[in-house]
Amino acid sequence: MTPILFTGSLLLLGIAAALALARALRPGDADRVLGLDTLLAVVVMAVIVDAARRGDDTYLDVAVVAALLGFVGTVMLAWYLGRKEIDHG
Amino acid sequence: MTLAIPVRSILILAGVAVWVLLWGTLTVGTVLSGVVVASAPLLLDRQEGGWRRAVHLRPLSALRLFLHVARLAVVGTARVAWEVLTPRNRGVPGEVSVPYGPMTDGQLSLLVGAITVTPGTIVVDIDPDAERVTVHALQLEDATEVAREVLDLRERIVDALPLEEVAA
Amino acid sequence: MGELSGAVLMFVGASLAVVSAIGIHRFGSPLARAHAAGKAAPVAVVLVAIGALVHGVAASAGGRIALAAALVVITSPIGVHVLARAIRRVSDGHVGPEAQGVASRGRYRS
Repeated sequence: MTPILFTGSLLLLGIAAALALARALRPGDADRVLGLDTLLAVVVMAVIVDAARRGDDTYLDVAVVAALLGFVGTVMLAWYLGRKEIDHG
Repeated sequence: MTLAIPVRSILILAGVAVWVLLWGTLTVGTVLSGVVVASAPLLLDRQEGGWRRAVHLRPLSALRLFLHVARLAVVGTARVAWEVLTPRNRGVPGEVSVPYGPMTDGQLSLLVGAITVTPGTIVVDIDPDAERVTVHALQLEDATEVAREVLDLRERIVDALPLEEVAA
Repeated sequence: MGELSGAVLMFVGASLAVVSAIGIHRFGSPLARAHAAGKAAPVAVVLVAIGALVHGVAASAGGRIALAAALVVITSPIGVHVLARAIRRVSDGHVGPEAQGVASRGRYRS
C-alpha cells in the first residue's frame, strides 16, 4: 500500500507542477507569479516526498532553498508589478 | 500572566533553531556555533532597531491564537478546495475596508497574515494613517460579517501580544 | 503503521496541491486565483512534511523538512498579500475584465 501511495503522491505532484507551469506560461503578469509560486511549493513537497520514499536526505537542502526562493521571488515580482503600474501612469 | 520577552533573545533563539535544523544534529558544537552566528549580526548593528525592545506575551492567549489560526487555515483550505472542485462558484467577490484601531507594526503584520489564511479573505491594502485594512473576500455576502471576523482576529492578537512594548 | 499513515498524509497533501493548481486555472479573476494559490499551499506543505516525519526519515533530515515547511507557512501569507496588493493596484487603474471581478465595495464603520 505504501509504495502505491508514494507513486500516487509523486504523480499528483507532477500533475500539479504541470498545471502550475502551464499557468506561468499563459499571459497575465500576476498569474505568472502565482504559477511560479505554486510551482516552487510543489517542488518543496516533491523533494520531501522523495526524501521519505528513498530514505535519502541529500536533496532536502533544495527544499529549504526553494521555500526561501519562493518568498523572495514573489515579493520581488509583486514589487515590480506595482512599480510598472506607477511608471505607466 | 504576561511575559516580557526581549526581541533580541527571540531572534537569537530563532537563529540557533534554524542553524541546528540545517546541520541536522543537536550537539554542543552546533548550538554554540549557532549562538555565535545568530548573535553576530545583532552585535554589529549599531542602530536603534526594534530588536532592542521587548514584546509582551500571554502564553495561554498565544496558544489559543495559534490553534485558532491553524483551524482557520484548515477550514480556509477546505472551502477553497470546495470552490475549486464544484462546477459553479456561488457568491460575488468584493472588498471591505475595516478600521483596526491602534496596533503596533508587529501586531499588524500578524493580523494581515491571519486574515490571509482565514477562509476566503486576503488583505489587499493597508492604510496605517487611517488605521484601515482593505480585505478582498472571495464571497462577499455580508460586509459586516467579514469585518466582524477581522476584528475578532484583532482582539485575539492584541490579547496574546498586549500593546505595551517596553525597553529591554 | 507509521509508514502507512505518513504516506496517506503525504498523499492528501499532494492532492491538495493539485486542487490548488487547478484553482489557479479555474477561478475567474486574478485576485480569486490568489485565494486558490495562497490558502492551499501552506496546508499542503505542512501535511506533506508531517507525513514525511510520521513515515520516518534519517535523523538529520527531520530538521530540514520542518524548516522548509515552517518557511513556507510563514512566508506564504505574506507573499500572497503582497501579490494581491499589486494585482489590485494594477486592476484599479485599468478597468478591464480583470477588475470586473470586484462586484461591490463596502466600507465598514464600527
